[in-house]
Amino acid sequence: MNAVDTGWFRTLARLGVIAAVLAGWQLLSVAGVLDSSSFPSMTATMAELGRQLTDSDLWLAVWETVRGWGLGLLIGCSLAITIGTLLGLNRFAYLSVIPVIEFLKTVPVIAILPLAIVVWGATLEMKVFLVAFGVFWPLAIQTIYGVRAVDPVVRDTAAVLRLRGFRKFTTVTLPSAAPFIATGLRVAAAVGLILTIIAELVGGARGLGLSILTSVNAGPDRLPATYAFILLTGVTGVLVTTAFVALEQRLLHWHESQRNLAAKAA
Amino acid sequence: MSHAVPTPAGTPAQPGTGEGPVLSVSALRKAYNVGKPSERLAISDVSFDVAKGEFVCVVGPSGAGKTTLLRCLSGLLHPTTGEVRFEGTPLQAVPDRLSVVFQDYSRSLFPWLTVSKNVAVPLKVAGVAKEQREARISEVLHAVGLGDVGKSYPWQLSGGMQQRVAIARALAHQPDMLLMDEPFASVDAQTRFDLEDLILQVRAQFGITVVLVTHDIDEAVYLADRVVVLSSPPSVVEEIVTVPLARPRDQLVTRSSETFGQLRRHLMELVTAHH
Ligand SMILES: Nc1ncnc2c1ncn2[C@@H]1O[C@H](COP(=O)(O)OP(=O)(O)OP(=O)(O)O)[C@@H](O)[C@H]1O
Ligand SMILES: [Mg+2]
Repeated sequence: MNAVDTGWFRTLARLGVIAAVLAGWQLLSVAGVLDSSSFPSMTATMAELGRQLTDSDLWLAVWETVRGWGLGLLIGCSLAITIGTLLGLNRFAYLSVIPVIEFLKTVPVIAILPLAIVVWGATLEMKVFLVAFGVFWPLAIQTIYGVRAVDPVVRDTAAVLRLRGFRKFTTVTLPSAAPFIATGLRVAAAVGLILTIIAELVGGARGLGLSILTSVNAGPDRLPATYAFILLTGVTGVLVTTAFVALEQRLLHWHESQRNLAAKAA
Repeated sequence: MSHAVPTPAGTPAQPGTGEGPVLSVSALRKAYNVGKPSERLAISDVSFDVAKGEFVCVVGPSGAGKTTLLRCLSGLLHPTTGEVRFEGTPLQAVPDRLSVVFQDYSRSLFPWLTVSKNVAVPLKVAGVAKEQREARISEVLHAVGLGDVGKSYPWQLSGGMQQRVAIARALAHQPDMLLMDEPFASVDAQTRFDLEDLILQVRAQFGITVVLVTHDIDEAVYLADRVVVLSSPPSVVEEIVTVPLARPRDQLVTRSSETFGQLRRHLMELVTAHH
């Protein structure tokens, strides 16, 4: 085994890259390349971040963001997987509905934001609706295609094993669709977080997005706070993606893509 | 085209032998894409019977419609005209007492299930209770020469072992008949010999009827009681050759016998003649 392939080496390398970026940021600030009125120094931002982390207001904002994102994702994804499955299983429904869904998918979710604000105001409901609506279409499409993508040999095998109805669905259809749904979920989680922040930033619902907005409006003094919030949003995104990748690895360990990953890691 | 078939030597006498064929194919014809410009006649006219406990191999040149025929026999595909009867009843869907082993074991075994769970599928469908299921799973895995692999996933095993699992799964619910489409085409020569002997052994042990499609003439002669030779497409039955080789068969002894050589040459001529 090569030293470059070991886990601790990779972790170390990543930490090194992060440290280098932070050091570079500090260097540019000190050298005066970055205008301090629009881009605070790394140390100032970190100090502000440290202060914020002990502030209950920040945690309240994080909680609001996570709650809106989580609820929206839960509702949107449950509906998408259920409806996608039903549409995928029925050829007639599939043929009649798919062009409509393909069209609706292309409508930018942001276009309905003003409507959602008019209906619900700057509330949790508005946020949840936006997220649920935004993740529904792509995931529904993934699910439909996944359910229909059963390998012909697997389909024949299911027939000769006389698998039918619900047992066929759980034994063959769902596992065949799982890789498609997993990809859809990973994308939905990331898109959902973006939509949550947008709903807060533009729609004014409470959360990290609103914190960014208020800190910007508070004037140049609060600039380090703005950057601290932005950093925190980024970290949340990374955590969310990592969690979904880990979940995918666990549930789809049997799938070719995961087996290849495991073989490479070994 | 029904031939009188003696009970194959080495096979335990079946209760109900002489009740008529397990499988009977009459005037089967199969065209793909009927009514479209791409219409293509794969099988023109095929008839033959398979008696209970018999081992029948189907050979023919590439593209002769062997896979098409086997899919018709299993109920996966409906013939354009003609009829397939299994245990006296015309085929509508895949019958309960019939199992199929496909060539492509890596796709046919479910990668998301362990070996045990793969073998358990037909038992669950048949409504076998959990304890009997466990017992039956270890029994069939043992019968195909696999020991302690129940907890492994199929893709963790070698190709030969995977095909053994597929055979175990096909045998699990004690079918009367096994259909196999080039089951040993994707394994190496030595494994192939082992699997041929394995299928002869489980067939004798469980007393099942086997129809096996292959493009390998030596394999057909080695395994079969009778060999159905298909012509090039659109295929008809060229000849049905009876194989009078003694059982139990042995890779070395049987294959080097004079009868084996003669049958082999005869079949070779039949298969290559119309090309
Ligand atoms: N789904 C299909 N649609 C249209 N034509 C088909 C289809 N499947 C098979 N055919 C045609 O029917 C003929 C017989 O095919 P089949 O696969 O049954 O032959 P085979 O004897 O199994 O061939 P091989 O020895 O290569 O396995 C071929 O000419 C093939 O092109
Ligand atoms: Mg074939």
